[in-house]
Amino acid sequence: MESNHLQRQIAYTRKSLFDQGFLDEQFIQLEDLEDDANPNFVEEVVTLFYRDSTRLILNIEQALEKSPLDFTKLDNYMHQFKGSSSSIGARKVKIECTQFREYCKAGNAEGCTRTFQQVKKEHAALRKKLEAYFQLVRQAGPAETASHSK
Amino acid sequence: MRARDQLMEQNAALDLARREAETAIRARNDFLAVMNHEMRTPMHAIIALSSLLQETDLTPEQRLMVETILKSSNLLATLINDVLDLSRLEDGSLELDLGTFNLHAVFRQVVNLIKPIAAVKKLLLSSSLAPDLPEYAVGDEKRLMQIILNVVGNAVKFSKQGSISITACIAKSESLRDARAPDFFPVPSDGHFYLRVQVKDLGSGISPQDIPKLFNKFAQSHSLTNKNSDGTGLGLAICKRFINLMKGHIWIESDGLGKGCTAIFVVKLGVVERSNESEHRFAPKMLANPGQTIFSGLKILVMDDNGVSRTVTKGLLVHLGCDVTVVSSGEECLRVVSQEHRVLFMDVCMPGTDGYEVAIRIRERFAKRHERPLLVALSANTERMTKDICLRAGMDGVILKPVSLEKMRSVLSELLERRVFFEVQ
Repeated sequence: MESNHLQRQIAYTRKSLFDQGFLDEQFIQLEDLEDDANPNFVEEVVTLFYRDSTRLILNIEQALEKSPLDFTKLDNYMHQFKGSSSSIGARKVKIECTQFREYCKAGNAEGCTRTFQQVKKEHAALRKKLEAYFQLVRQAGPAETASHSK
Repeated sequence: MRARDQLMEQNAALDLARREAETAIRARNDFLAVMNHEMRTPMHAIIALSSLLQETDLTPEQRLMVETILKSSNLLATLINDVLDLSRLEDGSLELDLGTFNLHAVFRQVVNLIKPIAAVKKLLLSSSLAPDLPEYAVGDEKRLMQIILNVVGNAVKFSKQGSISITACIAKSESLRDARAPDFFPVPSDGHFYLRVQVKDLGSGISPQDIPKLFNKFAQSHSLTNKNSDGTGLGLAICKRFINLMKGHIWIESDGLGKGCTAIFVVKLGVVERSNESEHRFAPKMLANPGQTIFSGLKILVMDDNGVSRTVTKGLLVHLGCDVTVVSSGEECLRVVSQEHRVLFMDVCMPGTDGYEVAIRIRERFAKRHERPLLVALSANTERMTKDICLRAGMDGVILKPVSLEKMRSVLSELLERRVFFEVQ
């Protein structure tokens, strides 16, 4: 009974992440790569993403404090950021990244600063949701996580 | 006595002259090889970065300038390649790179490449393959494509209107002999067939007396005001030599100026044995157990400067059973790469990437194609230009990200079978 309830919770949480547009198809690709040799692949990649992206956020923040703004540098950082976000299927984060890069190309400092706040907001929101999700998954244990409804 | 001494002197002189000529040719080739690399590297940087520049926001004036830069540098790159090819062809050091390949796909790719250019000139381009033309053949795929591209490219270049038709079939014995080339003796044999390709255009035509000169080096047609002439004049000369290497023959027919032109060439290709064919056919979905895949132990090198993306690509390949090494920079890649790696996946997403440079260096380091890893670019960029840049840098394939498990599986199968993979957009 317990495990059924947990399973349903996991499935529900996962589905809402997709339904609410936080994650896209790429996340499912990562799930497909989990097997006996790599049972926690998705969580590992997500953890790596948050480590990497936290560093990038710091870099961007510092770069945004300079005057005048070095749009090329900002764009380069964001390119990396966007690439990483793409790799884990972080849909909303990716959308904000794209917007940021548009402002970089247009040389719009105000736009960049504003959008960056959005990037950070989405980044943090997704982190919370994924942390909650993985906690459930870990609770369920390795044998239970194999069957995702796709 | 005197006559014999004279003869001996002459022989000695001739021998000396021959050896000096050989030394000169070797020196020239060495020089060309070095210059070729020295010239190619900055050339590729110019082409790659101008292409990327083209994709940024530019004023119309700036765009025109960038287009000119690109056109000129592409032309220069072609010239460099042509000159090197020709010198290797002349001293006999160029060898055909034989392999099994999809013959039908070659024609499809030629049409895909030329269609946009033909469309700009409102020329109709069509290709028709005879029903008995084998789908697979053994030969030098890249050079055959180069020949067809060159011949079709010329047809497009010298046509102002009308249509260009490409037909390909197996040459029957009557059509193998060309009355104008009595020294071409095609010798049909078991295991080989002669491919006959005909490219007909309705363009400016050529006067019959100019036809023999076309295959000379640096021949340019004088009957046109050559504003559009952006060729090196080496194309047909190189084609002819490749065709000779393929034990074939090329000739051109034209009824005169303004009456269009038909180029016909015949080359010898190998037949793919039935038993070989079944070996090459991997059913992509025959894997029940992911651990025991046909890619088991396949050594792959992945180059990507983005940690997350690198981990994902590695995960993908490991899941397919490959033995994966990852590197995060071009430098590291060149240090680590070896003959044991069957494929090198390089992410070329970052602007100013050294992916192309790495490809060039690897091609230089491994002289024989079958000894080096297959070079495949991973790109999130769907622009055509990216594919062209990759082609020029000598990549064997381009895949668009994101790459799903299914896609990677079929990419690997195709790569191992055909040794090329260019994603159709």
